[in-house]
Amino acid sequence: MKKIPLYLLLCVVTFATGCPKYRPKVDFNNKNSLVNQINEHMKAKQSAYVNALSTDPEKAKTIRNELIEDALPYIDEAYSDFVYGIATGRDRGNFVADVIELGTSAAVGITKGERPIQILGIALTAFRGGRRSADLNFYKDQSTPILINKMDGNRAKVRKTILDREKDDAATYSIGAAISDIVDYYNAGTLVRAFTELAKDTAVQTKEAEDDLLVLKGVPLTRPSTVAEAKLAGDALAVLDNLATGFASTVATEKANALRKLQNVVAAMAKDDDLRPFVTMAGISATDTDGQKLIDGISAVRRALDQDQAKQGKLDQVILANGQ
Amino acid sequence: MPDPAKPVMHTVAFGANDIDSLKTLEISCETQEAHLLANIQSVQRAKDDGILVTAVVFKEVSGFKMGHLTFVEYNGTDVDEQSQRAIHTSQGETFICKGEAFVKNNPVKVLVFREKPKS
Repeated sequence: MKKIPLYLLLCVVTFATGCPKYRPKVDFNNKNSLVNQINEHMKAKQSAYVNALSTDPEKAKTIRNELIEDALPYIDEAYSDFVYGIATGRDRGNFVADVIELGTSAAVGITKGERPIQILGIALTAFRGGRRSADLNFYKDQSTPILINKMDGNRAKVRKTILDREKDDAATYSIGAAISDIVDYYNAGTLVRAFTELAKDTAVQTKEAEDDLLVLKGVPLTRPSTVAEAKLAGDALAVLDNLATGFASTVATEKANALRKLQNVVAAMAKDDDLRPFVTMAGISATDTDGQKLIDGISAVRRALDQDQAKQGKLDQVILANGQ
Repeated sequence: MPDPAKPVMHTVAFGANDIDSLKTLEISCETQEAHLLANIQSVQRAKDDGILVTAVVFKEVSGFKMGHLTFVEYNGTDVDEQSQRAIHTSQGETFICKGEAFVKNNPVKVLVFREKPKS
């Protein structure tokens, strides 16, 4: 019976204290550690692989796949640590350090007493030449979630390739190719690769974007309006709306008032050298007593001034000064 | 002789690099509506004689009540489009169109709404 309280106590302690905080064994900042661990793992597997290759290709395939699958968790751990680091914010000094990639290297780990076979391993390589610090400064401005998403996507693509190739026999998918894929898998989770892929994506998007553009011919470019111009145009429009409403009124004085203001607007337009030709074109004059004709005429002039923003502004001012 | 039954359309082109923000495009389109006495119909990215532009098409209307426009950027997904439409419709705005524009030379997906005209 004493066992029951003891079990209870153990359960309470376990659940109350929670799981220990996840701390990856591989410290990303210490790349030698990561590289050494993977290489150590590979050395033993490669010896077994070479022995089996000539006598039992199926066994060699199994050893190759084990080599891959046992190596990937080291990279996954390093990546988790790395992503945690950049997601929680790092100093800028770390940034350049993070752009180191891995490469394949021959004869890593051949030591005294080992069989004289070529053992492929992985090695640290400096980040690719040609990417200058100016580029890196530019990329530093990229949003961290975008970079992490890109790295996740890159890693998933390489992982899929590895899974597909693991089905191939040893002759088709050699251990050297497998190690290259492991290196690719690591590099897919680096900022350098994220930047390169993002740049490629942008280039593709730009190409796609340009492919479905509408094609115009001879449409003059219109200068964007300022806030003041937009306000002036809106105010003039409101005045015209009031005049149209007034002229449509059944109250005689309102109607007459609106007509008088419309005539004043047209008279002011006719006095302006720039606007006068348009008044003539619209076939209206300040002596017209048909208010609707004046409204239609002023509207026609507004539309005719389509692309002439200076004259449009002038007309707006005339309407505001004489139509209120 | 223009067909009176056929609506009169105007195409206005803004240089891709001339528009520095969606707000600038918004007030420029409002100004065009006020001058052309026309309502916005579409916003499209275009090449005008080889130059990248935002082409905005307006349709002439009778009357002078326009109401202010609201241009909203969205990420191009249905989910974002529908959520933006729901937000702006609930504020009494009317959905006009969706399209694409250039802001500082970069393509931007936009939704266009019209604020309820003040009576």
